[in-house]
Amino acid sequence: MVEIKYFMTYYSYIVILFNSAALVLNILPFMGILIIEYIATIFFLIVFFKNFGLVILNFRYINRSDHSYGRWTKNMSWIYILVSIISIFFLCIAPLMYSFLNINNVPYLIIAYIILFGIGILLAVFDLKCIGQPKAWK
Amino acid sequence: MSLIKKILKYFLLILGYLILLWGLYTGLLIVFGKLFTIFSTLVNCLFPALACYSILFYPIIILIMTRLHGKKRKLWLVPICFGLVVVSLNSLPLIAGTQKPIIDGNAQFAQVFGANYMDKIPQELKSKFMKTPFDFWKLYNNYESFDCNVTYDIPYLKVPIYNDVFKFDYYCPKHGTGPFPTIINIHGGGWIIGNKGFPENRPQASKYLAHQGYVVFDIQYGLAHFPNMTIGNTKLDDTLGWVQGLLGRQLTNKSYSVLEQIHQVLGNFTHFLVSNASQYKVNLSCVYITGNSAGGHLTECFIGWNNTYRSIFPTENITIKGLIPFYGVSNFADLMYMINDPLLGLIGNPIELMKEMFGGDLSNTSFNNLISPVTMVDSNAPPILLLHGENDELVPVEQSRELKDAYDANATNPAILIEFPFVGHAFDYIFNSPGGQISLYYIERFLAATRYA
Repeated sequence: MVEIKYFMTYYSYIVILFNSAALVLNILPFMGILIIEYIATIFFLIVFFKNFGLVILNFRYINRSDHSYGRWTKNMSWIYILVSIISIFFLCIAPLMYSFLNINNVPYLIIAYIILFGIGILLAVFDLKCIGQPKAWK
Repeated sequence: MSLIKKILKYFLLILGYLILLWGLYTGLLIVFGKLFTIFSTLVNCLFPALACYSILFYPIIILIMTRLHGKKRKLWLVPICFGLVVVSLNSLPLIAGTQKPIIDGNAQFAQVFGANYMDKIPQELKSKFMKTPFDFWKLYNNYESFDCNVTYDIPYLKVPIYNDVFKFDYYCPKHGTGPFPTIINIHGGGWIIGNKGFPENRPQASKYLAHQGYVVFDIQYGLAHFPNMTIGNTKLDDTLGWVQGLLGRQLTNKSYSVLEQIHQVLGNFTHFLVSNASQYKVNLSCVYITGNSAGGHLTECFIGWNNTYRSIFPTENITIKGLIPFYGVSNFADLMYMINDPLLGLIGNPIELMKEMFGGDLSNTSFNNLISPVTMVDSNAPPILLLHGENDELVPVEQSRELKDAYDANATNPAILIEFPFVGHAFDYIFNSPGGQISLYYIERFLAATRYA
């Protein structure tokens, strides 16, 4: 259990760092800094699946019956899944709106990124809160 | 577990498996492209472009389903294995499908225009080119606006006796006085539906090209309809009228056969262009034509500018620098089997329907030659860039291959054929889809290379 807590601590910090970086990198090209498009793409995919890893770890090790942080961390994991679906829906219809209706997508895309990476950061913060709570772990 | 939770759990499980089944269907469609129904054809138009999102979407579904299977870990294998197959199949257009057209395109461009053809293109124009044929970030982020002036709904042809008016949208570069190289963009829709501009005729591509210094004319033309034909109890024209309504255009009062459509595009519009060249800053010695599907066929008909349609085309005034048809029909003789299609049988007598639509009998060789571009290829045929999806069920890729073969045998100008694997008809409609990006990458190079290389 001690090892997994250590692992989760480092993993959560990395998730926060990567999510913040991905958020900035994916928003900057909208402001004309196109040179970082490739890095933004790579970060987007890495972070998406890294958050996924955190959700799987939460399902495996976090204890729902802990009413302080355990329950909220698990709920947040489900919220992350829901939000991911909504964000992908936004990303998926954006090219249709752009190609067929000439709708300016930038606000939708920025909202999708903020929600996706924002919830990722929040999830990692909840995990860090669980570290000091023995009851929050299975 | 309470009853409601149990019901919810099984409902979500069933929903999850249904989503994976749908993914399997679209995946198989992408791989084989041979599940021929109207529905699968429509799905094949759109899904290869959207399937790239499966990399993100299906893992979430797999995760949810493994959670719903609870502690029965052996059952986890079912959604995981099933899901991995679905993700792999659906991501093929993105992972495997983007490589072949790029390798093919680069090789053919180097062969036709020379290995250093890019060096001959002016730096100012080159600086506006796409840097790579495919940019993954653009796939997810569609936001660019291209600097140009657009004027909508300019009439170019009136048919007073039927009270029909045909219009075009005009895209003009913001900078420069012209005259500019000119592109005529012809929409698709099987000669019976369709419209210029949004949502149908790749308007972002028109803006993109206007931004690069071309004037683009996105034109309407007359469409065929069938006042005397029905599907069951429904009049065929009611259905066509409904679809046209979605595309922002009413059915014309007269039904225009394909032959009349060719005359409108090759004759009426080009004469309008000659008469109004200075007003619209048109460089008549540098005209390109592009179009998709039915528009691709009409584009290919410009091959006959100096033979079949010499009498209607302003031969002395316009120089066609190049043609860029997307998935157009080039030889109707090869498509005669479609007359036996059970769907056409629902409408009535297929032969009569074809006669009404095309303006003649397709089984008659001389009429067939009149509207089949492959028969028009001679030494005067303009350079051509053919773009076709390998899984196209509506217009098989063999149509473009046949046209390229005819060029290789009879024409002095080059024909380049780029085939896109794992995609079907209308693969370019979503502007930043893999097919959309790669085709535009080669279009801009073709336009420049035919002028400078």
